[in-house]
This record gives sequence, C-alpha cells and structure tokens, in this order.
Amino acid sequence: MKELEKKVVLKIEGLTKVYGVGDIEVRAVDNIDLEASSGEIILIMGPSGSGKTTLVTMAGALLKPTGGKIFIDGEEIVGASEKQRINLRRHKIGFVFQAFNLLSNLTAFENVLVPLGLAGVPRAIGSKKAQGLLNYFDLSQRADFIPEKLSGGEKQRVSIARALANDPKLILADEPTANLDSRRGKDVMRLLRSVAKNMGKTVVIVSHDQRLIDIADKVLWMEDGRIKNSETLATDPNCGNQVEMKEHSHKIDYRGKRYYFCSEGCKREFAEKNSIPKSYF
Amino acid sequence: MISIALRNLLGEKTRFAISVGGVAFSVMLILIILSLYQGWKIKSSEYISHVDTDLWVTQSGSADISNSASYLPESVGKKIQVIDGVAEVNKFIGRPVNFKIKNQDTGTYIVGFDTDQPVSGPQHLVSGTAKPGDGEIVIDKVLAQKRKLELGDYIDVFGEKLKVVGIAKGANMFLFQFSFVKAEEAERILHTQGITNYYLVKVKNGELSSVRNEIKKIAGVDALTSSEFVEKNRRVIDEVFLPIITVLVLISVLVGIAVIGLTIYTATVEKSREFGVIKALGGSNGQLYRIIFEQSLLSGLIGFLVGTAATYLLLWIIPYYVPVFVTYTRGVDLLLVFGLAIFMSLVASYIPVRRIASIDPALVFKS
Repeated sequence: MKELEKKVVLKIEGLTKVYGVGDIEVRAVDNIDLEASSGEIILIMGPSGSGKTTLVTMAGALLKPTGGKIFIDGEEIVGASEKQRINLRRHKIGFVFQAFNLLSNLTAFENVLVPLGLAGVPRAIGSKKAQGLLNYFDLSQRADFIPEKLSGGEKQRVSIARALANDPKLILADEPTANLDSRRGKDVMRLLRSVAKNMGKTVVIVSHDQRLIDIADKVLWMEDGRIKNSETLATDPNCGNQVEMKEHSHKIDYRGKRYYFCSEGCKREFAEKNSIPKSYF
Repeated sequence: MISIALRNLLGEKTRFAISVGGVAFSVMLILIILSLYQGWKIKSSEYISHVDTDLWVTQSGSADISNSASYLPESVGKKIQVIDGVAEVNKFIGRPVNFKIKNQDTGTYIVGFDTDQPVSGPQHLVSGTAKPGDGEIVIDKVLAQKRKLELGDYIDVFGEKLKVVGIAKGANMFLFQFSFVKAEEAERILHTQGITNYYLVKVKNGELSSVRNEIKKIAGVDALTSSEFVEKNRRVIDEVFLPIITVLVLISVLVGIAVIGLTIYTATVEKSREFGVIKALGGSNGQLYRIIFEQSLLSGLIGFLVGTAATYLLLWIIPYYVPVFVTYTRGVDLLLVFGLAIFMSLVASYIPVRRIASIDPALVFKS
C-alpha cells in the first residue's frame, strides 16, 4: 500500500445549523468539530434525523450553516460568495449519492463528462479523462449506456467516476451502498477505499450501513445534531479491513509498532508472512 | 460541453414532438396568413397593373375600382383628347356585379373594352378567344373553376345570356374575378350609355406631368399615374386586412409561446432534481439557463423548419381545391417568421428559467 502524505482536507469548527426560531427551533447540527485528512475515510453514522445529511450538505457547500467554520483544502467556505462556492464544488468536492442522481438522458460516459464541462475543461481533454475513469472503474463496456440500462452497482460506479472527474480533494458520499445488494455494496466499498487509499482523496461517508465500518478510518456516531461517539479504527495489515483498537482486539506488538487484526486467522497469516516469532503475540 | 438540452429533448420524444408541433403549427399559421395577405395584395392589382395606360382618369374622390364608383360623362373624354401631349384615350367601362350562376350567387367585375384596341382586355388567355363578340364573354380561370364553367357554357347576366368564349388568367382579384365583354355589350348590360367609368390615357414621351395637370383642371376629374392607381388599390387590402392579419399573427405567436413554454416548463419541473444535481456538481445558474434556452431555441428552430416545409406543401396543394387561395411567400416574411420563432422560444424560456433559479441543489441529498 502506497504511503501518501497526510494533509488536512476538511476541517470543521463549531458547526451549527438551526432551523426555525423560538419554540420551534431545531438544532439540526450542534457545535460539531471534525477533521479529515487526505487518504482518510470518515464514516458518520447515526439514526435518521440525527443531522448527518445536514452536516454533509454544509460540508459540500450546498447549505449555509448558522454558525461555525468549514475549511476545505485550507479555504474557508462559510463566508464565501456563491461564485466561490460554485467553484469549490466544481474543483474540490465530489458527490456520491444514494439515488446515484445520474442524468437520465445522458450516457455513462457523458455523465462523467458533465462536471468536466461545467468546469470548462476542453472536450478533448475531458473525454480522455472520462474514458480513463470509466476504464478504472471497469465500465468501459458500458460507457454508451444510459443509466436506465445500467445495474445499481454500475450506476454507483459511474457516480463515483463522476465525483472524481475534476480530481477533487474531498468526496462526500451519502448512503452510497443503501440501494445496492450485498455483493454490489461490497464492490462500492472496495472502490471508495481505493479512492481514499490509492488516490489520496478524503472520503466522508454518511450511512446507516454497518458494513462500511470495515473500510473507515474513523467512525463518528451522531445523535440530535451532536457527535456522541468517535472511534478511530486501525487497518488490518493482512486483509485491509478496519478494526477497532481495543484492548481485547486481536493484535501484535512488534518492533515498537502495534498491529490490529480482524480475526485470529488474519493475525496468524500476517505473522507467518512476516516471520514474526510467536513470542510477540 | 455535451448538449444536455439536445439530449433532454430527444430523450422525451413525445414532448419534443408536441413542442416542435406547436411551433410548427404557429409558424404555418403565420406564414399562410402573411402569404395570403401578399397574394391578395398582388392579385388585387395584378390586372390593373397590366392595363396598358399612363394615366387613369377618374371621377374626383374615386380611389380604387372595387370600393368606390367613378362615373365620367363622354364630354370629359372629348376634353382630354384635345389636350396637348395626349397620344391615345380609351374608355374603361366596368363595375362589380352580382348574379346567379348555376343557382349560386356570383360576384364578378364586368369590364367592357374595345376589342380593336384591347388595352383593358384579358391579358393571359388560357383557352378560347380574347376577343368576345356580341353575346359573348371571357371569364377568369378561377371563376371557371369555382363555378365549373367551360367554353361554350352560357351565363345569364341580368337576363342576357352570354356565351363563354374565352378563359383567361391574371384577372382574379380574390374577392371577385374580372370578366370581359365588348364595350357595347357592357354599356347595354350595365346601362352605362353615355357614361364611362375611367378614361385610360396614353401620353407622348415627356408629357406626363403636363397632361396630368391639364386633366386635373377639368371639374370633378382626377388623374392618377398607373403606379399610383395600383398602389391605391393595394391600399384597400392593407386597410381592410392588415388589422385582422395583425391580430391573427399575434394569436399565432401567443399559441407558439404557450406551447413551447408549457412543454419546456413541464420538462423543467420533471427534471428539477437533475437540474439540482447539475447545480450541486458546480453548475452555475447561467449554465442552467443556457440549457433551457438551448432546449427552447432548438424547439423553435426545428418547429420553424417543419412549419415552413408544411406551409410550402399546403400552399402547393390547397389551390388545387380552393382556386381563390392565392398566396405569395416573400423572403422577408420568412425572415420575419424566423425572428418570431426565435422570439417565441426566448419568451417561452422565461418561466422555466425562473423555476430553475429557485431549485435548491441541496435537494440532491433527499432520497
């Protein structure tokens, strides 16, 4: 796995969103702080109405908060003009939606081309880029199909390719696996992990799907607009799954470094591969 | 950038067809009205403009041959003949009459002319003879078609049976057609002995102005050049039909705007989420407006082309069945209708554009 230089891409300070006033005031997001670096996957979980989507909508420069600050790649966006926010969405943020939200009359290829066109990328360069992304996501055979003719998994892959078209630093994904069956959901998880770990993107996922914990570096639990619990996860060096860093977890302390594993099997396999003596675990 | 507008239009073929059909219908209506107007205008003076004369001498206050009467005593003709510079004076006897042919009310303008000097006779003979004799008449082709008359048929005009001996072209004035008889026959039928409706005066080279001024000195008489007289006859069409045509064109434009506007608006409402997605992906309002304008303009342009093609087809077919359907399509009218189609498209975009401006991109997160 390539080691990428870590850089804070998303920084949120005291973010608050209040709807209504007086008796009907609702604090959808209440004084939230958050930091996410390049190559990192943050999973935000919580019950419906906990403020997850509001948080990600504000982070996506689509909704103005009532208070607090949001920095994307060092640029403060709360006080930004509409034009600056549009530019930010074009160049620094990519969106992946639960309902895919592909443009129904355009082909997969053209859907990936849309953000490039909006950003003013010349057609020839854009086409090359879009084709490259479709190849990367194994969609080159489906490039000329309209969304109606694609499976759910293919639609979500096109959606991820589209999110990456302008090479943004931050990917915001809202329930990316919710409309997919188990196998296709896992495919999408694998791709999102690849987007973070191989491409160095910061991926923030809002979801109810517990399976996504397997790919997250950090899991936040939201309730009533607040983060109730935050847990940093470690990557199993054998299978790549994310695992809780707890005392009772499967782990090895070797040459000054602690490794966490999802299972005893992974731990043994890793030890054998790396010739770690049994005395270390 | 990909033409999202074009894809949206082609993606909803039925709606696209309705939109294009609406514009095409509107374009067709406007073009046919304008072509009819031009056709009538030309036809209203086609015969007159071919009458071989320099001056039309009329009773003062008489402007055109269809809506105002002109009666001149023969003494006027004698006075004109002695004016210096006059080369030739011919009588023009004629007036609109109404009678029954095959039990159908028929209007025609009977012209009596000197068959030896046929300056005001039939101009383009189709069949038969252009010189009717006693008890004979030459009719226009349109009248012949309308009343299914052929050479050898008889027409009863005020108790006089006249035999159709010639069929001519170019004497259709759309409201009525000119029919031609000998001058003496006209005087008898129309009871105009001793009276002439107009004098047709030819002048020697360079004498037009002076002759005209001399004629005007005769009491109760006016003299108009051929082109002035033609223009006055055309003006009648303008005065009668232009207001009606303007109203019809306005209605057609409104129909076009309504059809494009409604179809583009419903498409915009249906695609609100997708427009929201484009906004979320970094699309500015300007870029979204462009999509709407493109959709609207494409509908307008294709509608214009379809409408124009349909118009030419109809203008080619209809005259076979409706002979008085006389049209003339000018390039400038095509340009005007093209401009109207573009205008309709732009106006029709207004409401959808307002709708787009109000779309909240955050809706993309709502499942």
